[in-house]
Amino acid sequence: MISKKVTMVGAFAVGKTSLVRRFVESIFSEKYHTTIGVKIDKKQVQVDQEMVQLMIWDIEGVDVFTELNTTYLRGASGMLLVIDGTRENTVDAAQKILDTVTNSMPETPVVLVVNKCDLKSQWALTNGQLSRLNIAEENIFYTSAKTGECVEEAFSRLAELTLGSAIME
Amino acid sequence: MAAENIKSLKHNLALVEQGALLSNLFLRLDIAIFEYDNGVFCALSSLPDWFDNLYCQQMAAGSGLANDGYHLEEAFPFIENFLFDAKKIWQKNTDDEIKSGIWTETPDPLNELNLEAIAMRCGERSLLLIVNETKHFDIRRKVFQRARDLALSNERLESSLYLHQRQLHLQIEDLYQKNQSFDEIQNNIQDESTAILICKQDGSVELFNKALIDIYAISKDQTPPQKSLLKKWSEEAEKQYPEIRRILATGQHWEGEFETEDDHQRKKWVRMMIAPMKSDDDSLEHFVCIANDISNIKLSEREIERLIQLDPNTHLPNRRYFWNQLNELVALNKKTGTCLGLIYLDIDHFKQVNNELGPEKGDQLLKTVANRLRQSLKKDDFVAHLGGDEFAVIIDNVDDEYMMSEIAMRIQENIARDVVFDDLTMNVTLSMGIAMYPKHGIKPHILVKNADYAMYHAKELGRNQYRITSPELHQKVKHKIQIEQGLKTALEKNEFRLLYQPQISLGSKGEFRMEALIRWHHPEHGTVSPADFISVAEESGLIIDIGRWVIETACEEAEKLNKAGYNAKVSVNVSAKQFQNGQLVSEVEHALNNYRIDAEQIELEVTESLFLHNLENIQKQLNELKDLGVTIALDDFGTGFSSLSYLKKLPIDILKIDRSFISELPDNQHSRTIVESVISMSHQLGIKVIAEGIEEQTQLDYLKELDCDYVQGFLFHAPMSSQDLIQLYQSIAPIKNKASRTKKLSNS
Ligand SMILES: Nc1nc2c(ncn2[C@@H]2O[C@H](COP(=O)(O)OP(=O)(O)OP(=O)(O)O)[C@@H](O)[C@H]2O)c(=O)[nH]1
Ligand SMILES: [Mg+2]
Repeated sequence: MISKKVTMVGAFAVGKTSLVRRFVESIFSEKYHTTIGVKIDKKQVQVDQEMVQLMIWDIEGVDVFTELNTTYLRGASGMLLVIDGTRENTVDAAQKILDTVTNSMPETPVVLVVNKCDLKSQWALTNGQLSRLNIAEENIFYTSAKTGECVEEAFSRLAELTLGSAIME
Repeated sequence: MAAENIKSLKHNLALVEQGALLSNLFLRLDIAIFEYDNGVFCALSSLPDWFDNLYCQQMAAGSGLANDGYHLEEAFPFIENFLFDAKKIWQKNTDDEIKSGIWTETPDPLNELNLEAIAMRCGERSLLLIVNETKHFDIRRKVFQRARDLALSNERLESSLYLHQRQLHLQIEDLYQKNQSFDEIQNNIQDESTAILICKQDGSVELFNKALIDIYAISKDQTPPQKSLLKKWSEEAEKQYPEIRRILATGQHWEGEFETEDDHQRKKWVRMMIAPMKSDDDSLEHFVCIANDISNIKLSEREIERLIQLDPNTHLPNRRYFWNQLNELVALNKKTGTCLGLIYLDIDHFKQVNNELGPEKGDQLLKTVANRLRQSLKKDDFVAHLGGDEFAVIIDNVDDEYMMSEIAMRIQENIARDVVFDDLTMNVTLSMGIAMYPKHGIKPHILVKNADYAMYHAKELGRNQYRITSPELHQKVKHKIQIEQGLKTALEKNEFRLLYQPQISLGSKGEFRMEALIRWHHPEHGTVSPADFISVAEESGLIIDIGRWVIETACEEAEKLNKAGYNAKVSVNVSAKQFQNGQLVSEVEHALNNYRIDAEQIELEVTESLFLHNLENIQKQLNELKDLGVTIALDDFGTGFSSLSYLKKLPIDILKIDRSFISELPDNQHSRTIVESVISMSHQLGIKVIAEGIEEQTQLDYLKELDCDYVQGFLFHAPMSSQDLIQLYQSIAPIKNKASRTKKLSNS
């Protein structure tokens, strides 16, 4: 079976860990337990006829004091960039990460996930704000780790893209 | 045969014991250590339980602990990924290491392990360490968790405020556009919890609500608020938003947060929106100002900063926090014209403790010192842990240096109690440096530098003490540090020279002999005397390289003199450090061969202090040097513990009587006795004698009487360059046929 490394990156508390737990273990917790360093989970997904083992690297979020440790990104075939739809600032953080990553590994496919879409009343984003990230429409997903909405879809898309990148290699 | 066996058995036993000790040590430090060889990891010590469990869990049952070692890259994808960087280190030719960064494993839902891998090349071996950092990360995680929780709730509060202000603005604008009277608008906003004020462009007030009165604590008889509020705000905001006046003057929209003062001069933070209200013909009629008190958010932002700026081990403010505080306090004291005291502290011999007892005990020691420091100070005094074993204390508003001395002494007393670990007790001491604002610097970084210099000086003076900085001390320490740093590159930059001082034979005529003396031409300080830099070079170990250079250069000089027709002997000073280093004999041999000169042409000068070190070893090396044919001189004789018994045991050829005795000749009875007995004793032992530092004819006459063999001093020649030396020789003993190499002129 093919195994692919993918990374979860974004600002702190956007829901990276929650998305992984929803996807891998189908659970969600309201409690915020911040990630230190990186934690790796595995899950198999089917892409067309093929099974792919995703190695999901859940990387600690960035904030004023913590920068993205790019050594964690080496060898990744895909990246899930996460934004919190209720926090405008998290778009800036995503932009910054994209800038560093596209420099060092321009070929890595990126799926943008706008999380916490269950919190419509606190929504803080307009479509225009996302467009500056320059990510193709079909690679943007509005998810909720809480309800599970679109979580599978986002990871499946990422798995597909990682295979694409394998073909390109 | 049996003895051999027992010896090797003992040796093996010692190795086994050592292995067991190391293994135990790694277990205690919570480290799993492996050697990487041909794609397989072999454990080099017993592995901690957490590792065994984790590994078995990760590997499919059964295939776990195979005989062929560990497959870490299979068990841990993180390591598989890290191998990429690790292999680069292992393939290098030099010892090096790289860390992976932290990764987390969850052996069960309740347990989390924070691990870090370190790849190391160590004596041609490829090592991989997996270090369990869980305990350390517990604290860090708590700090980060709290900081992020706070940051998150602040972000929420701020963005909801922001949203609310915008909504209010739209609502008011809507009413205004519909040509509603101010009374109507007033009714709508009166009970709003956000402060609102509508004013003309010049600031004169049209209406405001109760929330504004609350923020500004405006008293009843003062309402309505003064016309000047708009002006006050733009002045207050201007510090951070210099553009605000222009924006308001041109009737544009402004938003921001700034510090403001209420009517009781209390400071507050507000977030404010100032929006123009325009008439139908687009001319500016009014401003609407919408404000919220965000002091609480700012306070918790401070708390976040504070949280992050604590050292995770000692819980004291870290370096960053220290600088903020120092900057702030210096600014404050400048305003009030008061003094501030700064103490820089460094734990004595901490490195040694850390190396010998391990980082865990090191951390424990730091914690103890931090606690005792806190106990020694008042609540308002500021203590920071700058990192490593360095601490700093800021005392605000002190009277004078005397008061700082008292505080330093209190700290010293408090720290000096024993520190008790489970199985051992030790004594801690600190070295401290003190600097005062404004006396020793008005800029924070100058102050810190001065305190640091003073601390350094306290260390130099033997540790466990404090020093107050002063311009002279500053100069002295700075000079010393410059010497230290300059020394490192002096060889490369070719800044050393040898000068030669002739030694005159009183017996046989025409013997060429001289002492080589090193000089350093510092690019800034000019000529630095050996007294000022040799001890520094010895401390830092640079003396080994410098000593080698001296020997080489002296041999080169001898060769040069040979070519000029003078078979001369050059005497070179060597340091005890060069003997300890163990390379001296081979270095001398190398230099002799290199310049193809006779070993007899080189003499090594050692001092008595050499014999304080492992005497057997020294004796062995001296004998080896003798075997080469090099002669040995004993320098500074009479100043140390001067035991003539050494002279019998050691292969000394010649002895130098220290200049301090010579300078008192011939009048001083004591010196006379010593010089007389040294010369006669030496001669009985077949050792020759040189007297150095001769400046007077009477001294020379006296020494001649005693049959002293050689003399050296300004009475004859000052130390001189190689060129001058050759000229001198040519003037006193001209050589016509350069090929005739002779040892003694009288023979030629
Ligand atoms: N309502 C809602 N809350 C969510 C959602 N996803 C995550 N959260 C909450 O957001 C907070 C942060 O979630 P995490 O998954 O820990 O965030 P993270 O990105 O891993 O954070 P760091 O590890 O600190 O970078 C938690 O309190 C979650 O319960 C979501 O889709 N909806
Ligand atoms: Mg996380």
